[in-house]
Amino acid sequence: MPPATVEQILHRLASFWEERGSGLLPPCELPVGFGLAAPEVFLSLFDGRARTTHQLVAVHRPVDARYGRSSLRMTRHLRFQLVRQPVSAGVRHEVLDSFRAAGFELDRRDVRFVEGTTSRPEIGVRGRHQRVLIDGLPVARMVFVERAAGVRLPLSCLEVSYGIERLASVQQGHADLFRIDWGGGHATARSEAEGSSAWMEEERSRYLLEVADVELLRSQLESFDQQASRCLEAGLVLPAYESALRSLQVLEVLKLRSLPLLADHDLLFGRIRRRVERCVQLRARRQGLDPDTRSGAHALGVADDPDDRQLELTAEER
Amino acid sequence: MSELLVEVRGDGFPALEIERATRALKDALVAQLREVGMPARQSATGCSTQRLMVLLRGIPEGRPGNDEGRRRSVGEALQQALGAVRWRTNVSWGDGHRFGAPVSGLLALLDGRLVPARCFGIEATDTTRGPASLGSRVFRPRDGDEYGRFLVRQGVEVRLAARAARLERATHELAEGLGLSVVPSDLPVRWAASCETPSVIACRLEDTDLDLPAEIVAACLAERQGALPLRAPDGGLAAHFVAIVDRDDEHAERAAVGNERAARDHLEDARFHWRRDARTPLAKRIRLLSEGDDTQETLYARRARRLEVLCTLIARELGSSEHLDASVQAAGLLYADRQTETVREFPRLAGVIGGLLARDEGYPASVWHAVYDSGAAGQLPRSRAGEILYVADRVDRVVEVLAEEEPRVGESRGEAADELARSVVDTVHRAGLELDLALAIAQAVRQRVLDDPSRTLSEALKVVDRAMRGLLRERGAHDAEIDAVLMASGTSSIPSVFRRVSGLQGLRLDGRLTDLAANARRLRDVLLESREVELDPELLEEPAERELHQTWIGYEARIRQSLDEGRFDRWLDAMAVLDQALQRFLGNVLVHDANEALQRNRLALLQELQRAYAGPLRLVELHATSTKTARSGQRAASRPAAASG
Repeated sequence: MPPATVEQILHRLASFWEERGSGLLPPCELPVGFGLAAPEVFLSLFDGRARTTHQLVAVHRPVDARYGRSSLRMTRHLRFQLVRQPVSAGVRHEVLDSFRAAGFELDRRDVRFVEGTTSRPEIGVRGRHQRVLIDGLPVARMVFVERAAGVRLPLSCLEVSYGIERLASVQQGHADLFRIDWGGGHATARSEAEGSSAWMEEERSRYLLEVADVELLRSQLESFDQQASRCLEAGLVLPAYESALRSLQVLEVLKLRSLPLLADHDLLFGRIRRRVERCVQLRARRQGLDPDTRSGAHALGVADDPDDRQLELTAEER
Repeated sequence: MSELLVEVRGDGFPALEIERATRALKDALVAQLREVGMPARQSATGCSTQRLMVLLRGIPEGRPGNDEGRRRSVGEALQQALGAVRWRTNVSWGDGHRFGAPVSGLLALLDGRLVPARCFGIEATDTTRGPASLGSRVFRPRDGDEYGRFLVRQGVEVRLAARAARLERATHELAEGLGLSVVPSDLPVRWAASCETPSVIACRLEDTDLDLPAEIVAACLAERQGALPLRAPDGGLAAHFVAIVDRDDEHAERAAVGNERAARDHLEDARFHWRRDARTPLAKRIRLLSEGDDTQETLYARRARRLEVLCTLIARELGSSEHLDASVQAAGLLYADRQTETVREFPRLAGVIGGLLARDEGYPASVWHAVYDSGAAGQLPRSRAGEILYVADRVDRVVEVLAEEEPRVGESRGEAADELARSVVDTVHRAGLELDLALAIAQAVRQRVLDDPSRTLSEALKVVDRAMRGLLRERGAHDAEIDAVLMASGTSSIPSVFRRVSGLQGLRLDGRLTDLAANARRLRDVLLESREVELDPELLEEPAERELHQTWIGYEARIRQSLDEGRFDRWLDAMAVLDQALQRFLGNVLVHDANEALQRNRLALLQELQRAYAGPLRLVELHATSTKTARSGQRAASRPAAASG
């Protein structure tokens, strides 16, 4: 079988999961650092409804600015994101089958699962994960999420996120992510049109690591935070959450530019985190759920089993 | 006899817990079966992140015609046993099931026949599956042997220890084939836990990939790529590493290219952080640490100030004033690397990175060595300044942990304090530091604002005592020996305690020690309630008392000197001569003579001797404890075999 293009991989993954009942969500338009934070997904995690959805997310990670010299670290890359609630047994087999569907001949490749702990303190998510390595290269990640925004989820959640460029580079045998074939036989042109070419990554890195102005960033951060606060006062969950996400992105850049230390990082971070938690609480109340008690079938409760102690917020998260 | 085969398959059980969980499952299953009159005589377990396997054999056969009832009982026992398995972290799935990972399959066979059981919402079946990544072939085994043969054909060694040993061997063979050696690591054990069909492959780097400090390259390969760095014959890192693959066939080697590419990218990333870190001088980092309110960084700054005071105290106690400046300067630098990007990426390099940055900035070797060695695990600091700093830092952290008010997540407060105290005691002992740790701990307590400083001090001293006893026990010392030494000399000199206990251990099989201890006790009894009196040699009349006095005069200096030097063999030789003279004295001379002057004089002679007997070893205590231990040993030995079993 010839190596698949990015376009084919996306299409095959979508078809594979659609056959298993997954519904397509619109692409995430906001600058998020990981797919689970996408508003369409995150704000729905707490309603207690079973679902499987997939979505294309352009992940923005200022901290990964490396001038395009590392294929493991990019300021922007594409992820195919699957979210399932509740988690189902046998998911490892399904994920392996999805790789086969995407064109990987797994009987000739090495597949390893490496476990670890995922911590996304920005949105209060912690859970166990398994990174999937094909021939030693990380290409996807399965995360078992038990809590988000500081509360226990009514239904357990599985997030599977595939690094699309990385999958294509492994399949096509290109070490250089900027040379992968996106489809249609116009590799280079298409690549630039999609915004993933080397010069763009280099310029973004230069902006993030050398040029971005600290004072301007601080002022941006304040603006977004004030907007989030106003929206919360007005009971507008989605705009408040979107402003909080934008604040997070600015804070990431500010941290990067405040070498070696952003002294008030914890303070700023904690403020954004509280906005996110407030968004979840408002949304839950609007759906008739009580985030502070354990009454009701889908209440967002403070869990009382021993595992939850392990998932309590760390000092850093607080 | 019947055989029960159970296999629980899941979507990735936590690798570090599978062995314990499988044992717990086996124990619970054996206990449940015993309760229903089906005790198992033999058991075997196997595990991977994909399966937990228990095989029980030697289960008595039931009455003919009762097979179905037995299988039902086994099914119920299995359900109970699975409910008894605990994991540190669970995963939830489906309708609220919780276990180490979602359970996707359950095999349960009693004598080859399906056991009816329903656990985690799934029914038990009579089939197993091969490794998920290799196609997950389905197989129906008839018994445990056939099950084992199927897994072997699939490349699965289900016994974790055998898997680890195989990988360890293969890693060394691979390294030797390249003319290199393996950097000591627990990676093969972790590989064995996380892979079901593991094998190792050799991978290459370019020499230019290694233009980073070797510590960073090694940490990067191990922690980011899960790969094992190799050492060149000259001791430096080689441009090769060993990677793990989860398949053991002709396709395994193909993964080398991907592993090399990933390793290069990880190293490029580490290089990026290291270069950025080098742009900010340590002095600036220290200044920044002192700014701000109550952040983690200011806590580091405060700790550095406390360490400066502690280093001063320790250096003075050790009479090492020439190392004072270096240790104090290193104390100020010690936590400066905590907000470097490299340490954030590789926390276990904390201290090491500070040392390397200090070296590159031109700090004296005594200073950067001290900082570096404080973070280097398992090795003794290479300078006196380093030893001083290491001890000061760990003592401060012991007190910090014990003073914490909030409970810890994961590792308990006690465990953390014990671990730190152990490193302090071990370093003081190995470095031969004549330091009274109680003084350093008291200073560390004084430097903090605590609600109950005396409680913290007392806890810290107990933790140190526990650490010392633990280390001595690991060296084979008996509690009686440790007690004898500690009760006599306390903990003011740890090297001396270790020397004395070790010397005492050497005498363990020497019967003269028992005689010595018995006479020490007799001396104590004779001198009970006697007042201190002065000896008059002119009043010694009997030959046996004159002989005892002469022996004492002749051997006193030798006894004291051998004790000071910790030469217990010489000490025992001298004491044995004295002991024989004492034995003759006690047999031939009446101590409580009617003549009061003679009686006082004899008591005075024995009082002088008692100082030698009681001495730093407290023989009376040793004797008492040894006798108690021996008696309890006799009691245990006399218990009926069934009860002790």
